[in-house]
Amino acid sequence: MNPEDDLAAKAEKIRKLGRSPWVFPVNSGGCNGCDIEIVDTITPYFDAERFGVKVASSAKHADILLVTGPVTRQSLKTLMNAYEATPEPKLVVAIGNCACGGGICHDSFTVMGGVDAVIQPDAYVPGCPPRPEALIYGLLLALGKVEQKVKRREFKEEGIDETRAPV
Amino acid sequence: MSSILKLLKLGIKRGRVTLRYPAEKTPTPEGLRGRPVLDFDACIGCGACAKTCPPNALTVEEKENVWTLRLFYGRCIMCGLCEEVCPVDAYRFSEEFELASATRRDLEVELRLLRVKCKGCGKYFTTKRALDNTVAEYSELADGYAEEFKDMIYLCPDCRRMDWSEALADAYREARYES
Repeated sequence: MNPEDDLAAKAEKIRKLGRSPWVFPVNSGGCNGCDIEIVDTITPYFDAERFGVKVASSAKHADILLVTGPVTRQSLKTLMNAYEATPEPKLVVAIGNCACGGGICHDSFTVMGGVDAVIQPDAYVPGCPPRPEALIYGLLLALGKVEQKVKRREFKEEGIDETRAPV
Repeated sequence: MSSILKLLKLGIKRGRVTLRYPAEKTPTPEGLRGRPVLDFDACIGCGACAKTCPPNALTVEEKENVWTLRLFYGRCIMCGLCEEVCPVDAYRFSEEFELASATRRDLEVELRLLRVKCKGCGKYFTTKRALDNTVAEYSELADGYAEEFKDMIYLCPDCRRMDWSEALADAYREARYES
């Protein structure tokens, strides 16, 4: 299944829900930098509430989980509890480098190495920490309201045999 | 009631403070390090960036005749060290920060270069582009001064070491014989 189609379908579900998408930030062992940026996005200057985004006080009230941190072993259970407590339909957005791919502590024995090791996120928001604008952009991308800007880039020098089996 | 009126008065006096972000472009400070963009044509494949990258966002894989550099934006902390160490300035930090993506695949950059064989032992040891770069720089630097070492460029580090130590041993033997 193409993840982008899945994302659009989920966003459609949230739209059908007929109310604003509420978010719940889950810190899974991060340094709090990304959490401070999440708080920044609800300040009057960036004002994420223009899009109906409101920070819920419990995962049971939320539609979107904002996961920060590299998912440490200690926080894994808490993260899964929050994920299971969130009612369907739900979206998971990985905020920051730690959540996207483990970040600076990706090779530590105490971390799972990113959210996608345990839950498949619907959107990745890289940055260390991401700017509040980047965070709003990521949320809107998860809701299917903006176009994705980054694309995979590949380059191959002439003469490299594609069919050759790697040794 | 009066407090609400007071707030209203304050709000009217203050005006709009909210940034209309997706509709309006956000002001970026000068010298902001956003997404590092790798220039595929400039990269010579020396691997210095992968060695210095603190979160291993840049990784190098060497498989027979192919040298692969992978950049994963989901781990890049935009520290700028790759730009600093790059000998040919292949990295440029753009002001792009909207990197959000629905898939992990879209956050990756892959560059594959050809590797060349050592003239001594026949093992692959460096990329073709890096060798060409070394040859070009060496001809500028040496300027006819060390012509006999020119062939050493085409040797891998192990062969070069052996070559060098053999030459030294020969010279030592000769000197001893003469005395």
